[in-house]
Amino acid sequence: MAESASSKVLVIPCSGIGKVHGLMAREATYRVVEGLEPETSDTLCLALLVKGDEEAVAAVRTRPCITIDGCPKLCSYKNVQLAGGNIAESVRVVDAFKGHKGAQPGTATELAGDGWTITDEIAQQIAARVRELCGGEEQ
Amino acid sequence: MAERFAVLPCNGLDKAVGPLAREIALAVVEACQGELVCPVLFNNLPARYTKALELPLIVIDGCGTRCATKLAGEHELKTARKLQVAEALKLMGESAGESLTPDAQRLALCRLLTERLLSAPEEGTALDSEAAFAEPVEYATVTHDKFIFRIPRQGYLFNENHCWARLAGNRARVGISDYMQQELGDLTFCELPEVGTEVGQFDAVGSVESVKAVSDIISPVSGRVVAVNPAVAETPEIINEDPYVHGWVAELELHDLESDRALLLEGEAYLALVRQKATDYRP
Amino acid sequence: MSMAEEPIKVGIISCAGEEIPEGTISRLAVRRVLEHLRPGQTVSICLPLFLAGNEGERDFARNFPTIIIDGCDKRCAQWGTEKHSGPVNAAFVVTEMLKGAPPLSGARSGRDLTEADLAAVELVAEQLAAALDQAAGTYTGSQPAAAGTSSACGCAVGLPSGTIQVNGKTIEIAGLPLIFQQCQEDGLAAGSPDTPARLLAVVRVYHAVDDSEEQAYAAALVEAYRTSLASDR
Repeated sequence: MAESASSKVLVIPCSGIGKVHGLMAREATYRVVEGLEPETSDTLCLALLVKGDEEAVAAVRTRPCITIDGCPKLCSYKNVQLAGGNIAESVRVVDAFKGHKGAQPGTATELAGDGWTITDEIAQQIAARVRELCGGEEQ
Repeated sequence: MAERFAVLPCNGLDKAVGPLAREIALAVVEACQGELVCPVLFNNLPARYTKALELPLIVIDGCGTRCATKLAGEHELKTARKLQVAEALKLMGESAGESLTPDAQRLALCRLLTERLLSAPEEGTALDSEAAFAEPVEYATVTHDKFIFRIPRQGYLFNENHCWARLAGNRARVGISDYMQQELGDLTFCELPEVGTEVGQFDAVGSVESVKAVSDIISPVSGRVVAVNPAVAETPEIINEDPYVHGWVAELELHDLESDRALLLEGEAYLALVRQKATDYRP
Repeated sequence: MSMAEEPIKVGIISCAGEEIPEGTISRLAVRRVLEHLRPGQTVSICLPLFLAGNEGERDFARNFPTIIIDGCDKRCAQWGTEKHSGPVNAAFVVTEMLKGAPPLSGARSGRDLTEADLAAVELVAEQLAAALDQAAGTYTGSQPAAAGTSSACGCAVGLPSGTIQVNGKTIEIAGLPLIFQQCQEDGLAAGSPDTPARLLAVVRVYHAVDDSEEQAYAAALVEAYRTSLASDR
């Protein structure tokens, strides 16, 4: 069942520009909100939220949020939390590498094969969580 | 059988670190099937815990007031391990936040700190080692563009592979420098050597892997591995966060420090090397 | 001046906004400048890390020339930088930069970008590179920096500069307007016998003057100072 825009789960990446992890966070988000769960999820500009945009702040406070951070600095998690966001799940791209020893993910500009593989795995994990959040009335 | 501990946490109620200290204490007790010592009851009725305190004691303070440490001191308790939560979080670049109810992220940090507390060096070395390597470290820095590289001013010897040895008596802990961890980026794996391994100067004593590269950890000193740090194998990012203290990889009993030292760089000399390398630094 | 010949590193902060395609364009354009157009001359500053308070990112933006590329008119990167590190050297918005260019496909993921999207990245990147050159005080082609814009001095924070004519050459001097302003506030008259030595002494703090050209510099500075005082009346 399609969710109205105001109830979609928000998937918010850090999009860190300096590391491949930031690109993977971003691409995993797009895979979820455009491919796997377009009816039940959406994304939001992290910088807009930090700026204090009223709509963005209201959105994170009233909708379940899944933050995706590239690295342990947790920029998305911290900033969403600071904005009073309702964080249902915090995902870290670096953790996904634990099952991929020797992976060559690419660069901060362009993902290689391993990078897309791991990104898609992360996306599947997030999509499953989105379905849980949308399907479980008792959440 | 895993070692059991008695755990004495502080009773902080009005700061965010207090509940975190409690969470860690409970987790440690559960993990090691140990005994929890209630600080309030112990203060009023110490005899209640005579049996429990036959176990080695872990003291967990939330903040710098160190109430649990003071209580242990007043009763002349010998402490096997200690943790000050606020300080540990600061070293990790984290904070306890404002809320008295730990959130998901804080609980994850508690799990990490619990693992560190319980990570066990070889029997007979843990107690001495923690004290020996507990001295605070003072850093010099090299700045290049937006990157800041830290180098301990004293107590560390470096090789040109950007690995360090921190000395304490006839022992040394080894690891990788801040420059090296930044060059590698976020670490995803750390392989530890086996305890008992004989290591020559400039032999590999483990390795680290990031998305960019796999790199051997080149030991600056020769010796026998007497302890390893399982926390960094479980959570390699500890090395990124705190490469010089909690990010140690292996502890060696030294064979010939004086000979080894002749080929190593002290703090100032390594600082000069990093300054030179920094101009070539490409993240 | 030897310091001015060495390229100064310039920071670029991109919004990389996730909601709109222009955010992806801004991110890729910065990477293009960093890796291909001006390698070794650019430092990309991670906006989320910057906003989260990273010391290295904020200090760099505070102390070095910094240019901004925002995806849209909300200008989040510009807002954040000005709030935490101070004024920026130049600020761009992708939607404005792409006016008149073929429309974007609307794709946000790297998997879906079209040739038109990649052309847009190139267009934005070229403009960023030119802005970077301006901010750093180095020039590509034959285009000099406009008078009064930032010049490359030792600390590279982008002081306003001015020009004088010395022995038939146009010489740019960092901080010249501010030097003149200070002298004026101190009551230094253009015709005073102390003026040439005073101006020369101050300018020499920011600009190398060969001993053989001292008199020529002093005369040119007095002339420029006189003009500056006259224009203020």
